[in-house]
Amino acid sequence: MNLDNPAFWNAIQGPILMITIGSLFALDQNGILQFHQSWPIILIVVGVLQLSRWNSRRPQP
Amino acid sequence: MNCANHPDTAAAAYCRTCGKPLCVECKREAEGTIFCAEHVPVVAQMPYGGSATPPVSEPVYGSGPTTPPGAGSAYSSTYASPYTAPHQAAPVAGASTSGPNPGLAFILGFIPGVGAIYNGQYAKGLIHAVIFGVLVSVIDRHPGSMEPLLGILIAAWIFYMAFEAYHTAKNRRDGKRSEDLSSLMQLDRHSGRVPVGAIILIGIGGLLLLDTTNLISIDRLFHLWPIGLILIGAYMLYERMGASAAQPISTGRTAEVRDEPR
Repeated sequence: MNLDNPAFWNAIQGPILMITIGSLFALDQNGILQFHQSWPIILIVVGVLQLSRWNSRRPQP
Repeated sequence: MNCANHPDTAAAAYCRTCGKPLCVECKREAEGTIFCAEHVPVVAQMPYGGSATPPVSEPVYGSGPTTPPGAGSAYSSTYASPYTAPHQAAPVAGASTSGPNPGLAFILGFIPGVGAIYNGQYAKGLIHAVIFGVLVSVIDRHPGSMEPLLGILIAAWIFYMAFEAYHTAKNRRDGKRSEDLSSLMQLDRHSGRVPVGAIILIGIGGLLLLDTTNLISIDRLFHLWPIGLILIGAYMLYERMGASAAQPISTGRTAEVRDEPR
């Protein structure tokens, strides 16, 4: 697990998204937070993942 | 960025599957696009007749500006007559004719996501469809003041998807490099620049989250639009400052030149 490796961020993108979507639907099923209220979290997570990947590439020329 | 296998050689292409940078020597042409040695499909390594030709001897095709001029002309002379063309050229020639049809991609591109799916870019198709869905959801939730803006945005987005699918299909048919998300957010190129797409995504996500949880309505936030101009100005200032730090004499003009893709 190397946080500076772009391939690492590429690899965890799918699982992290899956976990996020699963968590949001779980909250929805339990009536804590409706999915139609919480879906923008997915956009934020995608943005943060892209930002982390860019940050891991930056030291390279 | 340099080749993953040869660190002192500049990368000429990227693998379609794993995104690894590849030099002219390492890249493999197959199915109208570029793969690395590990991910090249088996069919491409075994041309008609089943004799396994070494992939290194495959002609360099459509590799863009990094190809030496002699190689391109030599290839086009052999390519001119397919019946006398060398044995190895057969799969590449087949790929150039069996690629996606740009016209069909254009028409399918009007359906959200379908154009990209037709081009085999499933992630991009999903993103296209999601952005379309977000725009429609927001206009459905706030039919008031932002309806004209969002309506025009939706129309522009539909045409963007169609033309994007058309250009991707054309690039793939011609064997040029096509990245999955390059047109949405340029992550591979400009690796030194701040990824604007990601920051915009986080910002829009935050705004929509505030809106859907009824903390702050987007309608009320919309009155703060001049702040957007201030932020854009600050970003431009940051860009120019960064450029002048790298090259002390440079002005904004050189920064613009650097920003141009390829």
